[in-house]
Amino acid sequence: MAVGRFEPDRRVRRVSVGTLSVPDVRDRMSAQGIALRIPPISVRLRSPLGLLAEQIHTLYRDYELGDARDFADVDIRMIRVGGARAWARPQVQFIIDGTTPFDPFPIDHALPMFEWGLNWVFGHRMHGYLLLHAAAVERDGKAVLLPAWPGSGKSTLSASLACRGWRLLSDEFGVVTFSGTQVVPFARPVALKNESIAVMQAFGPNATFGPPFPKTRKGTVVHFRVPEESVARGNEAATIAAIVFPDFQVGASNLVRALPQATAFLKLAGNSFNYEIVGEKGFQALSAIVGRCESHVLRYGDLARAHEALDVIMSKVTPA
Amino acid sequence: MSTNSSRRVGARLLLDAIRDLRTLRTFDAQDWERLLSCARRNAVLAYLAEKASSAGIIEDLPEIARTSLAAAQLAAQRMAQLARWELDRVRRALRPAGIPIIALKGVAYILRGMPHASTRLLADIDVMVPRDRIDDAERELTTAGWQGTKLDAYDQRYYREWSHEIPPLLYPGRILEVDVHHTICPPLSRLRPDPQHFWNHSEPSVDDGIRVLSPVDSVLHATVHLFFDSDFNGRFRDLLDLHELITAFSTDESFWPTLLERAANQGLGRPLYYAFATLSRVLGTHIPQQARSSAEAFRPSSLLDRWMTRTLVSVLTPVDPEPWPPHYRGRLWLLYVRSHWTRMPAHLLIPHLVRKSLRRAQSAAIDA
Repeated sequence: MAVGRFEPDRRVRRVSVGTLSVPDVRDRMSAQGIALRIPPISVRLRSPLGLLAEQIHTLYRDYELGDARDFADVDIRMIRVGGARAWARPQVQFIIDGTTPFDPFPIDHALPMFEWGLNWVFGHRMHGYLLLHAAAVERDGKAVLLPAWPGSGKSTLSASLACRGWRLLSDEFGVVTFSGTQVVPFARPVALKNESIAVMQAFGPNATFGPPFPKTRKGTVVHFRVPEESVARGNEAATIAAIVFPDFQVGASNLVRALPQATAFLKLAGNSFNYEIVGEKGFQALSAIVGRCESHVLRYGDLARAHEALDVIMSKVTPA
Repeated sequence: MSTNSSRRVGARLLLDAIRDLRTLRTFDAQDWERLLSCARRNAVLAYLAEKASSAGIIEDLPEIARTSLAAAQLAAQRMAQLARWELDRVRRALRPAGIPIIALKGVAYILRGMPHASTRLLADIDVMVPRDRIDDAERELTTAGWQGTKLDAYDQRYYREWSHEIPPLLYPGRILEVDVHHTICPPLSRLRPDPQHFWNHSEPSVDDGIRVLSPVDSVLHATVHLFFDSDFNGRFRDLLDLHELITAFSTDESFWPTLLERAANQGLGRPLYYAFATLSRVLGTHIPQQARSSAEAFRPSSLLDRWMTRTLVSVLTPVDPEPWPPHYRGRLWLLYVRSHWTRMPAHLLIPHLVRKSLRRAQSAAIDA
């Protein structure tokens, strides 16, 4: 009695979110749920919230939908909080495997909560990879890791590169194989914060953005939709060719500084999500990365200029 | 949101898998999705992984399942490593003052090298020190850098007067709290085992300077902890630990008679009776007829027996992630009240519960 499949059945025509109408997505989400394929995982999302369905429809337009019988790695429900207080201030609950690890969010922040919660789940589970806190982009088969602390500009920089012919692999997780050679895409809407929103909207006039979410914990957030081609190539890992630590400073001109291997190693290990959990494999992976690739800090104050600096760095990288 | 027929599936699959690992080989993709979700809900995914590896069937499982199992196992092993390390720090802090230590619960099972112990998601480590040294222990630990977790004056008083432990300590920047006990039951509880017996029967461990409870005392402690605690939410994992302890220790023939004798001497027969009843019904734990008959002596009145056994079986069965809101809240509340009833006299209990519920209402109001 084999119901359900581990791998999508290629004989069945796959549908992406955007081929359905908004009411269709809403109906499915509030009934059996939708199975979003966000390589390397698939996410079952159930929610009766119409606004969330609409925003998922916009931001996940090009992602494949799994069949109801396909295996999903993650089970998320987003439900309005019940009880008397919900009258005064409607809130949404993030339910993962029947548990609620977070305090509820205001109901109109359901989408940021989904994004944030999914990051949390991914960071807590995907110990088959070394998870760096880094954006990752690729061009001509060469991937660049853009590790950073919040505020250093990795999200904005990676979104801007995605507008200029780079493939966006991820803006949050550098998902690295233990061999230390490959980075695996986990491409999700890029959360742009505060000042960077207007900057990116000007930089990528043809890009698609979600609605603004004011007053989140990180200020105002707007999501940049992952370009179609990056979504389509979501199952394609890329070879890591360079590591560039972005360092955005208002008004700064470009300054590229090479980093010694040991420094790069410690910086990467220090902001990894699971370096301590994966243990020796993580050490081997990081040793391989910093041994094979040059590391640089790129201080910049302007996106177009930063791209030029990156072009220079990449031109010196030997083909993968 | 879901059909009724799919509701108990995850919990059923999980129990089937734990009781007979070979059933894992028969699971299809949808079974696996529900099983993994339910195992995560009940904090037993790493346990399943360990069981499947040691039974040698992990290679037979689908890759997607192996990936999840392996990841959970890695995360749990890291927790076990941290627990061992935290215990070592505690030992360093207490040793110069000559304060003896017994490691309890999860970290003690790790010291005993029990495979299931390294699959727990720990939040704290538990240690016991002699009652007349507990103030010294607190002073040594706070001098060494641990800090009391933020509790108000009422909580502080509750711990110090009515509890068998001091308020939890946490070293800044670390994730595992340290709970320091002087016995295993609250001092006003109706269960009053003599802690000196635990010390007399305790055994050295692989860590020099740290002792562990004897096998029967470990089981009795886990039993009291599970069946007389106030929070029965998600305690299937603890039942599973008890199952593992009993299964491992009962290979020694003297285990059962010693267990029943010690339970009788220490006045811990009632929780042991509940443990036998629940374990055999939920997990099919092998308990010899002789031991079961002896435990009958600890049975409560038949009305209470029926209600308790039924309630315990239902709350200690794996929680299914599917129903929302969860079904079991009423029963959990009754068990919460019961546990306080057994640990405090009524003239203290009623003001305590009123105070706690008022505070909850107040914090809800502030939150709104």
